Amino acid sequence: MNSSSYKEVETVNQIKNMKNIKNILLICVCVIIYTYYSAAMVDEKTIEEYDVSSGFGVDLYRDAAGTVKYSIPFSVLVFRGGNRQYSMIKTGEAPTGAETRQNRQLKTDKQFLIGSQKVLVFSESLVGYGLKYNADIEFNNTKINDRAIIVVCEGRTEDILRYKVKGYASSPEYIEGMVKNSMTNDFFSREYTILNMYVRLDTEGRNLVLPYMKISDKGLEITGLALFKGDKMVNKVEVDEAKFMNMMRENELLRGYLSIQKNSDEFMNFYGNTKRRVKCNKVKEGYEFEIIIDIKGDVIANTLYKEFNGKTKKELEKALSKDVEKKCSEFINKMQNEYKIDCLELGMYAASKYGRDTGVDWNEVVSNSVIKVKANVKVDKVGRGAY
Amino acid sequence: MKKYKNIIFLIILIIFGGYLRTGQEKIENIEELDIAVGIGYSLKQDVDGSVKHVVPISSIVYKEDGVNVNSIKTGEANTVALSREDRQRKSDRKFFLGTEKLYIFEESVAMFGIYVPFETLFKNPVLNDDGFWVICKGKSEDYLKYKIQGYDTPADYVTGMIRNASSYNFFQKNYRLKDIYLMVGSEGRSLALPYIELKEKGFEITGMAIFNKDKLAAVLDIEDSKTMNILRSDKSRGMLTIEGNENDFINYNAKCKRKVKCTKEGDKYKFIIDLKFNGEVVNNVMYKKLSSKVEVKEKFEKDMAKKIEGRCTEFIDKMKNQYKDDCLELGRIAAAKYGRDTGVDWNEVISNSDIKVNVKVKVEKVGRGEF
Repeated sequence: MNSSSYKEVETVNQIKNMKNIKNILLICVCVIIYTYYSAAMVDEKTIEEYDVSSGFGVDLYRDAAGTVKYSIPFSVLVFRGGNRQYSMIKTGEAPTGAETRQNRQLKTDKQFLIGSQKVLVFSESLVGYGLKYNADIEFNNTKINDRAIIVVCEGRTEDILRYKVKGYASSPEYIEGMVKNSMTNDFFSREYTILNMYVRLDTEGRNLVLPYMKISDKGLEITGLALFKGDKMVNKVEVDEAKFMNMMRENELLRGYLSIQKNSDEFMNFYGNTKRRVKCNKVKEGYEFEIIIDIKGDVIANTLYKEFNGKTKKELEKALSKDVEKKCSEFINKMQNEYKIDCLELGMYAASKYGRDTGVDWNEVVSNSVIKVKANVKVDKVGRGAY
Repeated sequence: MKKYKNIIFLIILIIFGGYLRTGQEKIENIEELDIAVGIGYSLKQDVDGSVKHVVPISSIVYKEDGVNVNSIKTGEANTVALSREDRQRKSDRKFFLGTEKLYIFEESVAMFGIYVPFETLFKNPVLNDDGFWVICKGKSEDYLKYKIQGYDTPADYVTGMIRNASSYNFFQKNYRLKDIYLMVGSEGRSLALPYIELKEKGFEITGMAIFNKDKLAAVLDIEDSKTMNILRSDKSRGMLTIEGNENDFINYNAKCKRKVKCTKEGDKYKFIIDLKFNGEVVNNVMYKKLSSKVEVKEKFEKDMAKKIEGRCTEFIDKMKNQYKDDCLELGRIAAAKYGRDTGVDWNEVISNSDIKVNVKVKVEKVGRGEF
């Protein structure tokens, strides 16, 4: 082979190479363009295309055949142009909680987001049956809002969610405000959340307590607290009683009103905050608890004491302390004999001091132990004085 | 040059004339049109026995204050096309087709056969091929009339329902008109459409309507529909449950992929359907320590696969013996491999062939674990 033909072959090869590179480049460009557009085609949905809900309820009932069925209504916001918002109730019904999602999808026109909820409403039938099975699905869900508030309601949750509150798009927003702000006046704890439920259900010596609400003739109303034994609701207390229970129970600063009333003309109102300490001793016959409640606050109305000086102030403090002690002991009596649950969570203190996992039923132990209450009231301010 | 001049002059004249002509065409305002959103279709039997086609159309009436009104205008005539004439007589606006999202066909229409209305739909070039198609129970007019607060028309709501149904229950996405043209026209394929009901609390998809050629073969309930959708679609999503007694259950939310193999032995066809599930355990009170122990996980995967397999074979038996319809579209696969247009009735062939289902289940996620 002479050199010229050799060169020719080389140039031909070069041209072939060029062509190859061109083809490869073309393919590369095609791939880049394709990926660019296909990436843009991924379903990106706006918020209007999702069912955004502010709260949901969990109901449980038995159908005619006797099998358990869950009914889980979502309160869904429907956005319209302008400031118009509506709420709709979308209910899923199925034999298990998770399957209600599937059932609900058959009735709704959007994909729903689970987890953005602010309020969970449990019906009395559910909490009477047991929360454990339902707690699992909430725990399993990584997207759920753990700070969501839980309330127990009378009757069907759907009615509560459907209830129209003027000025609100949906009732869960109103319920959230109700529960969150009841702690400023009624000695309510601020911890009625899902996270709290997990802890209470699973810790030795603790018991769950949740706000109990219903629709009265004037609207939505918190009427007291639901008491749980394990994962079942067994009883409920009225707001007046719940006040003193919370005072002894919650390990946090609580705020609310106290009063002494002799008759309709002579009364004294007091607004303050409370903090409690618990001492636990094991004696021969069992456990002995001492609860010390420190109350500090202001007198806001007073027609009981004509003059306010150092002496009457002391008198007032003593009278109020006595009143609180009396009401607390009344509650303890009722708790030990009627409810027979450790709703003051005293078992937790005893367990931490004398050992956990000993197989002790703290509800029973606390019901049979001696519980002493001591209240220390301190009046801070008396306002502008008596009128 | 002169020759060209004339031609140029002529061209300019034509362009100018054309421009003026388009300017003269009347363009209507949106307020003067009936913008169709949903189209219903029912059949009515007259006293003398003749069948009347009833086509109600739901359209939005736009108003200045932004509150739109849903108006229903119904046309009744001896054929579908003639109903347009009848409808126009009752309407104060011009009908504007091409924006409709939903076609609601009554169950009775489906029983009667859908070729006839199909013909009319297919002929019409302005019709929206992306509209969804559903079969409904009862009168289609009631569905278009139903009021939902926050929505202009119920057709908007139902459209959303069908579009998002695929996120659970293993529903497919191809219930649009253009898909249905294909499903009815291709060999070895069969039509299956969502079946909706208007209940006390609103609309609900209660199952699937399956078709034999162009006629309704059966309406499946939701559990059967789920099984059929698993076996029918290449990719689907949904939730499955194993239930023991009352408080013993596990929920598994999964994506499913299907692959079908087809072989022929003599005259008999044999199908193997491979299903692969991949998903997340959503709620589990049945298998303790599922998230921490591999053996438990494997046991669950096995149990679940067995359960799905049982369910699938049960459905296939039902399909072969009761419906006698190829609602899994297996004929399509066989036809692709062994030749089309051989005059085979695939419904019959599938009913007599051997269908096997293999299921593989995989747990990908367990969430935060069990409580």
